[in-house]
Amino acid sequence: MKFNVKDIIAVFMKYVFYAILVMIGAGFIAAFSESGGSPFFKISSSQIFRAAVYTVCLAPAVSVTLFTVLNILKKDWKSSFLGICLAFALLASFFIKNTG
Amino acid sequence: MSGIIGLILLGVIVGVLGAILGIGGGIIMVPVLTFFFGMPIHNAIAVSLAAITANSMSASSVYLKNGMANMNMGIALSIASAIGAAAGSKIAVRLPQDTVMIILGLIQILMAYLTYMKMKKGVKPHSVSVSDKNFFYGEYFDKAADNIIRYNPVRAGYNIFFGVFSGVFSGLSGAGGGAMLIPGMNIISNMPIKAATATSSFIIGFTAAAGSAVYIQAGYLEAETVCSIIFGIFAGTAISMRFFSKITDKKVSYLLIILLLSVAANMIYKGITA
Repeated sequence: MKFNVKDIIAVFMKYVFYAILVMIGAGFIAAFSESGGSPFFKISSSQIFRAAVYTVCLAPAVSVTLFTVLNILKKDWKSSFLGICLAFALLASFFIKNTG
Repeated sequence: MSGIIGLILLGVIVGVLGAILGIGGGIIMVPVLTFFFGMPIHNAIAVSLAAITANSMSASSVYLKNGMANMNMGIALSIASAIGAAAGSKIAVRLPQDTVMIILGLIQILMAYLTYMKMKKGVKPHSVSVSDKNFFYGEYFDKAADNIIRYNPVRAGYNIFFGVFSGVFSGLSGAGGGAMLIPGMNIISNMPIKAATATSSFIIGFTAAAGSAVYIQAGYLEAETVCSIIFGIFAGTAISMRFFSKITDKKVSYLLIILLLSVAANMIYKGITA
């Protein structure tokens, strides 16, 4: 398959970041409407902000998965092996810190 | 309201520095949030790590697209950095933190000196033929030099130590660890300084995300604060890309040296006064 993994990851990161900005913008609108006493959205501003932060923290994990899968499709075994190692290292890091 | 504006301004500064120097901004955010916003240290570290992840995403999307960030090098060093960060969290509770801080501070001074020497010596033209490409080969168009820069990082294995150091530093301080990674890539692997800073931007996101996930679970994260900073980061990155894209290697090196020395001074001071 002919595609550039780097470009796909770059586009992914760009649009996820834009999605986060939209969520933050919606959070601020919700916060202003809550302070005015007439909530604009059904969910609260703090829930929207929390969703934005979760998206931020999950995005690198999704990027690694995307990097690995795309390299497997491209049959670039060395890069996909690196991606798998990073996924395990991140998981190990999370669990070690969590139990520490 | 003034608090939100202050946080957005903090985000702008972090975004500008992050895009130029490849740092996440933890070394700025943690002290500012604790001293000026009165936030408890654990909450400040949690906010800083989440904002670093966003800063990394914002800058990397541009640097990956224009080829400045070296993806294979970035993924390889992220592995070392993630392992180092886990080790750092263990070291933080087992070793005397003051000693570790002083040692890391002294390493930073050495790195600043070596970066200065390398800049003074001048950079060899980074030009390699197509047949010489190795696994970590990279190329990008340098707007300041108006030239395509091609380079083959050498001794990439040694950089793993810097990856581990940066992870340990990140685990101890709540920073992303970029200040440790950039001199390693530049001095040891002979990567152009701009490629090193761009690759560092990419790496710190992974280390910080693993750290912030732990803090989220522990309930330390203040989502509203993070979101205000992220808003500023977006503006800061845009400003940086618009006005500083033609910055020369020499200026980046000088800024990096100033950053390394201030980080070193901060760490040694913390180590002595702890």
